[in-house]
Amino acid sequence: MSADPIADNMRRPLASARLLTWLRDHWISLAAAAVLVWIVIIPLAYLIVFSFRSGTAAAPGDWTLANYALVYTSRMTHAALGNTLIYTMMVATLSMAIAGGLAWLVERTDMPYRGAAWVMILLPIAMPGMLSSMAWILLLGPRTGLINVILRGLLAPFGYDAPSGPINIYSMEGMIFVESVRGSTTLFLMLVAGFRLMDPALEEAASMAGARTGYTLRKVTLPLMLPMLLATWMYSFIGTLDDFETPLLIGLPAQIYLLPTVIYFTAYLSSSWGLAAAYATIFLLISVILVVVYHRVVLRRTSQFATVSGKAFRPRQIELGRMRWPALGLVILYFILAVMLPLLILVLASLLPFYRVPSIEMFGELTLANYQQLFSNTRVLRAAGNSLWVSFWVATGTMILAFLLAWVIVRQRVPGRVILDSIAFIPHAIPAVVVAVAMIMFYLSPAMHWTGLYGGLIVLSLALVTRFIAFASRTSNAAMTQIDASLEEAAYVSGARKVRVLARILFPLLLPTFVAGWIFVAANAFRNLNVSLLLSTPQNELISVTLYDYWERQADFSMAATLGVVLVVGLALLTVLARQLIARGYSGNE
Amino acid sequence: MEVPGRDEMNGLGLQERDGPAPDKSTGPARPVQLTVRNLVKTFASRQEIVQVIKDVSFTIGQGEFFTLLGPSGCGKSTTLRCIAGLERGDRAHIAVAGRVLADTDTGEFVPASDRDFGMVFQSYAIWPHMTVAQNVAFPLQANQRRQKLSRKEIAERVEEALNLVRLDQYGGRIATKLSGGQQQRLALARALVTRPDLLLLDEPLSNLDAGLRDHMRGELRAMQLRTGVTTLYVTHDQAEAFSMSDVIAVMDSGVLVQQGAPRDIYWRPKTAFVATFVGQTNLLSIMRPPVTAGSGIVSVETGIGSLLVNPASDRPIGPGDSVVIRPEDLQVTIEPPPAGRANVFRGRVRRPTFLGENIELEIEIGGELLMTRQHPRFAFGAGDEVYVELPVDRCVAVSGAAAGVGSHIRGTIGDPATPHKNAAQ
Repeated sequence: MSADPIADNMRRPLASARLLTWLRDHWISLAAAAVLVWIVIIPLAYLIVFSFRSGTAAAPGDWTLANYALVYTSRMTHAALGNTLIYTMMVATLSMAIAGGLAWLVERTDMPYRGAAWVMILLPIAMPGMLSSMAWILLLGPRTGLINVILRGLLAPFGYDAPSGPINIYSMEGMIFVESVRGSTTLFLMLVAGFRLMDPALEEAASMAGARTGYTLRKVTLPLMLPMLLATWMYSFIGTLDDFETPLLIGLPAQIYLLPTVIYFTAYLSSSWGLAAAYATIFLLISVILVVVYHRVVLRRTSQFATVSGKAFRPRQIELGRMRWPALGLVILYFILAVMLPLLILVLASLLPFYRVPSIEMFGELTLANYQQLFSNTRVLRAAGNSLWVSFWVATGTMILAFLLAWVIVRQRVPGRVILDSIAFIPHAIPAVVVAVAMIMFYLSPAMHWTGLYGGLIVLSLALVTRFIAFASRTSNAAMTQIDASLEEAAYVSGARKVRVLARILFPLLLPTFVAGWIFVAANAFRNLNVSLLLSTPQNELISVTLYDYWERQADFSMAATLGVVLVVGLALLTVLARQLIARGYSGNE
Repeated sequence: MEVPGRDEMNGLGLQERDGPAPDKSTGPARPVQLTVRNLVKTFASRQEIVQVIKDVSFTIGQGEFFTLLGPSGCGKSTTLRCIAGLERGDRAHIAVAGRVLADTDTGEFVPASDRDFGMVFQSYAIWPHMTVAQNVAFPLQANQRRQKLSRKEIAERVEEALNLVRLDQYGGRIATKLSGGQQQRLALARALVTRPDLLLLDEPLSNLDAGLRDHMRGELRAMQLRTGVTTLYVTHDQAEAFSMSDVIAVMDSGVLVQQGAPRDIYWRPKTAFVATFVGQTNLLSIMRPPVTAGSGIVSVETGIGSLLVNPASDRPIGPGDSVVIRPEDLQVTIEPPPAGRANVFRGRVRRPTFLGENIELEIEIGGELLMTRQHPRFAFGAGDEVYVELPVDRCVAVSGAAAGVGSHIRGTIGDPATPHKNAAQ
């Protein structure tokens, strides 16, 4: 006898009637699945198909391999692959080193003011990548960068009289530096979690066996942490691969192309859509392979390792002795580089009527005029309105879809729910630029062009939902698993049908997760550049695009900085509000 | 776990001369409320396919308290969930009060939400985001499509249900602020508020501590008698089953092994599994095919010698089957019993254990150890020579031999025969 009720039902007479009943019972599952397929599978499939065709997105031509031939022979491809590899490897390694050192200091040593150090290390999260790149350009630009100006002044007595330098941000080193400092925060959180999972008895056993601190660190702690460190490194590698803002702002002016910027360049600036599709397909392939390896091999190996015991420990603290204060100094240095300096230069730039080489005299010209201008600028206000609209609906849509998907995946016994889970996870492996290119092509295609959706905020929002659904789906699944199935079953037995159970039982129980996820998605949608830059048009500009436009096309650094400062303050307020809401949500349920 | 209720042992005293008579409390046959026919359920995982229920059929009479008793993993909870509509049987015919709820032949299947049952879950499944009163009101609100109630009527019904479980003072409280016992009563109120056709209880007492559990046993049964609701109760705890049930059905490995009144299950087990699962028991292996000794009694050869016994069923017994006798049924004397009594053996006391209310003895007879409980005033010492009588009407020949470890008496004393007590269902 088969355990599959659907297959059983199909075999019997009246299959059509049974199918109807089944559809009536499972329409929610089906609707959720359909939306997911629509926003993930179809655009990607269209992108891949299109990469084998000639012509334009709106009028595809014959089948061809020309796009790939062009990719293969192009010098740009080889340079981009090489650059991408160097960039991602160096950023992953460097930010691991920074995050690892910080996590070790905060978690495992008796460094003073560790509570304050936590805040200093986590604050960079509020700093969008675009802004930190802009800030560092203002600081380290070869001619007008503030630090370069100061350095030139200091070096002049020693015969340094070049008009630019000595440091050039527009270089591979510059990109790596900016991104490593910025990207350490997430890794820091992952590593702290890893440190906490380690059983302190393993280290204590080593010291009982006569090993000194340094020896234990080398022979016990590090080898035990190695799988976790490797996993974190690879996570960082994959994340950096997707990074678009630093390569765009610093790499493009320096003519250092990476895969995402090559795609942007070919698609947007030179309108070679077939070629862009081929690049995007290749990029997608690389990313998917990496993500699969990461989950199949790295994460599985890590979970097998004995240090992960499932309990949270507070391991023994290592006494730093005289190094306690210098250790704190390192944390403060990190804080200065990651937040303080970038923020200060942005604030300074926003107070200048127009940006020029900083000098002592200009402190007399500081003015709030830029802010006044910003808040009366209709273009900015409209873009801000668009961004708010998009963030609200993207966050709401993503979380509702994720909530329903979690319910289907975790609770409903419909066939194919494992496939659904995999589809929801695919966007995790799709680089943002690829999502954007796929969406453009799909909605420009003859099949969809008539809808007139292309160029509108709806397509932009759908692309962002695709972008965030993997994250939202994972968190919702985890939360749904935490809820005892009997709470739901009790409602069914009480006479409630699915819609009521979802609305009255599961949704209220999952509200804290829903709100937390909503705020995360809203904040990230609001500051998103990598998807929106490609998908926005002058009629539906988002605030992040306006910011980029001020910076890049109008070279109005002061206006860009002003908008940036407002954004950072807004995002920081949103984060604080989020924490308050989440805290209240949880206390209400406990 | 304690030995099955002392009340029953007292009850036995009155009937002693009649032997284990059929249970008097069963009463006349009641109209059938629930019918379960040919229930089969398979769970398939990536590694294996497990048939957790293998063709189970039974009926429950109106107003009856019916208990499915068995070790964890025997399929009793899955049976209950199939009846609730939370699982679909691979094959099943389930009907309540003449209304077919599931029939795999016709393809009928009424979802859980439309079955109109009450259910108490092992975890209680109290909704933590609602108050006590909101928890109880939910089933009434959810059933509006069947029974339209005004706001006032709902409030009255909630009040009534909370009164029934003595939680009327707590209506406005957040449900999770209640104690374990109160949550349990709340779950019961929520299950009863719609006056369901059938009340399903899935190990509702297993999360309570021992004292409260004993107390709730009495409360639950009193509540059931007061409301007259037909009840299906699932447990692994024999004391719960014995103390509350009209009918007990013992399940093992997906099969309903024996169904009957509590006393029948205890004194007339049909298999060695049933005998060892409910209460402590002595099991003696039968060595040769039995010889008929007239009037339904047979003579069998065991490790302690020849025994006159009652066959538990019509099924022929033979080598590989066993004789069951409860520890409290052994008659132990220093003096030889009057001549002409059957099943009398000489034995040696091995390990007397004084327990206050009784004394536990291990008695060695011909290399076998028998376990017994006697009045504490008998001052037996280790090594004493005694006479042991195994009353013929208390010796039951059952099919099968002792299975698992520790489920019967073999040189160990004081290890009650409930190996699954702590196992989670």
